[in-house]
Amino acid sequence: MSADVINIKGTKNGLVIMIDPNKDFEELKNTLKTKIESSRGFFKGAKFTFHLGKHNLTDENTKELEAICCQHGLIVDNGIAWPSQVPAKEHISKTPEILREKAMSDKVRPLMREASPSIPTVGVLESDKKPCLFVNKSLRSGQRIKFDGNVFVFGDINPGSEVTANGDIVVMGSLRGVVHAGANGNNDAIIMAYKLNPIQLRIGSVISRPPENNSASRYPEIARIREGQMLIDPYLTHGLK
Amino acid sequence: MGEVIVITSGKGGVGKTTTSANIGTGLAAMGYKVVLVDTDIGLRNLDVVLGLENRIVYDIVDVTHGHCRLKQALIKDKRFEGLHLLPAAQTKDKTAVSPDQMRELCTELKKDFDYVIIDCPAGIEQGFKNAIAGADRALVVTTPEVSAVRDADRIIGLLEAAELRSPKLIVNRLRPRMVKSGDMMSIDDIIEILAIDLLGVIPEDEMIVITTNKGEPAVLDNKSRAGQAYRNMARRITGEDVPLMDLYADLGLVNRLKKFIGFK
Repeated sequence: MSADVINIKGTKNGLVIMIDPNKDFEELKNTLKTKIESSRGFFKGAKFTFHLGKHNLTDENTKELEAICCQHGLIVDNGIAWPSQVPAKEHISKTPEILREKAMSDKVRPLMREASPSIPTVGVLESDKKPCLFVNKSLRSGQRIKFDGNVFVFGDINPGSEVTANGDIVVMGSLRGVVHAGANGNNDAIIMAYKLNPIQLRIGSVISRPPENNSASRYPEIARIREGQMLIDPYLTHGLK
Repeated sequence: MGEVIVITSGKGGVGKTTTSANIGTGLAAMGYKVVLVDTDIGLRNLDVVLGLENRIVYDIVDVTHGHCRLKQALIKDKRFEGLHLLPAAQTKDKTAVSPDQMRELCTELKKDFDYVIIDCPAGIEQGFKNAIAGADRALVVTTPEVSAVRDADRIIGLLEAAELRSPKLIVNRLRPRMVKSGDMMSIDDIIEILAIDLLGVIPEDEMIVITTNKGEPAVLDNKSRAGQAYRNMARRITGEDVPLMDLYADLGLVNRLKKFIGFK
């Protein structure tokens, strides 16, 4: 019953070679050899890892089996996990610094990682907690909002209107007016808009205006201060998952 | 019980008075009883556009101050039985009337007329506040210019603050050829910023200048494109579903040829 001794499964990250460690080691070796040889180079270049269930092989034995595979052009990659066995922590640590984290202040970022290594949730330091104002309409010319906290606008901010917030400003629409985030001098504040096409942007003590002939972008953007300069980056949602 | 409609814009010179005269005349031509109220005290124009200047005896200030009865101040139009004008005073200023007096006046006019069309002055001060005080709904006129659209946006905000919800937009003096070449804001550009429903688009038309100077609203001229646009708009106000005119039809060479030969 060699089929039960060695089973090769494909996952989206690579091959998982399932081994029944209860069997004789020589039998394991031979079965693995024949399996890979019979594939006629099909597995060549594929990444693989061993899956042993609850049992463990000795290091020597593992090395021997790996050597067999490597002879046939397979590549060892212990990062591959059998889906049901995904160690959540390891998986996350592999994700590069995600964009959402970049949007956080330096104080919050390490805490966020520690607090929720598996699911990127939104959270803030107790001392950073700010009230949020939800504006459920568009702001038209001449209308003004001043708020000590974060402001979310579910609509547009039209030219001639102003939003001043001590925290962040997020606009789920077109930002065409003048906004000031971190108005109490907080340069860590951000401004985010579905369409960032402002007359003027202010964060903390920095004031900037878009270059002449600047046409609106077709993707959401985020503005923040880095080394005293206003930086506008695309806000990429695929970095959030 | 009629309806009070205020025609406003914020910016001056975009065509509030012309639009008021044409929509009012258009509605009257359909058989409705219409009264046009000029609230631009001190700078009255509506009477000139309608060609009724020489018939003015009493004006809106005389009515609100009780110097005459409402019926005495109303001027009957020379073309349509159902069309009336309540002219503004020329020798007073906007403070001569208060919003409360306007509200009272509108309530009074509503009893006798199907439509009370209020021509609002430019600006956002007392005159504007007077004009919108008694209104049931609002029409915002703009031209495809950034400054006019900006002012329209401000006005829409003020209308909303005054509980005049969902005003309708009229885009005046559009030049399809310039829009096509990218030199003028398109209807879509304007709607994207203002985010309100469109009532109609009036193409730029030299006939407007001629008819305005003569005191004959363009809406009565069957050859005028702007007149056609105003007729459509009047029908939309009454609740009819009229599709927008195709302003780009005359632009292509093939279309012009077709028209020349008589296919269109």
